[in-house]
Amino acid sequence: MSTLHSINLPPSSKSDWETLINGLNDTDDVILIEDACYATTDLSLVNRILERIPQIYTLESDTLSRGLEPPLNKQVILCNYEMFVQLSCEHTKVISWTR
Amino acid sequence: MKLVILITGSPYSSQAPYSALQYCKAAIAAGHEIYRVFLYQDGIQLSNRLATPPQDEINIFNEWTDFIEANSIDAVTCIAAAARRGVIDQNEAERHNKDSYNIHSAFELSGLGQLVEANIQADRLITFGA
Repeated sequence: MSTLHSINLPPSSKSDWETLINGLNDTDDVILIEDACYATTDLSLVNRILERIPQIYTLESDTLSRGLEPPLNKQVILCNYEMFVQLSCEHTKVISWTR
Repeated sequence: MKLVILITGSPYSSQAPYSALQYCKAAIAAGHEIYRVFLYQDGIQLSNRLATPPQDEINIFNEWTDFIEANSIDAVTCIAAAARRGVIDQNEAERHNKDSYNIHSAFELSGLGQLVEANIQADRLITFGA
């Protein structure tokens, strides 16, 4: 059993991010959508997630529309909605971290 | 797969309705079934048929109702969340002696039981919040 964590909260929502990271299993995936894409600029946050799972997905349209550069780290992967749908079907559970 | 989409964020104070629509379009294109779209909390604002955005902006209300009608999707608005925010159907208008009603015909007013039932029947629940 594995979980897709979809998060739309900015890195300033620290307690939510802490809870997400502490609950990550190594077979889980994380996808950043909406304001969560700002997390791609927070290297310490990115590295803490990458200590637990091999890659992070970030929604391309939400990342670029916020004026963020495509991530240089190859473990941070730009993806589209098609991939978001695919990830939510591959994992047995989806947790949406939101307000 | 059967998917349930829960929208709890409203247009104009969140990106939730827009993100959810892009997700649903991708899901249908990939051959999945949208078992139900459920509007809850501030997400119910999406079912207000009187919303009239400026013509040079995206009309997320029309985008959603066109999508629901084109794909025959079951779209439910939570009755308790909607009534307290002033979104009602003809039945509620008569019951509460209101002079008008404003829910779009693409959405049906119903209870949280519809969300529970959808969760039982479908494979995944995806939430788009504020």
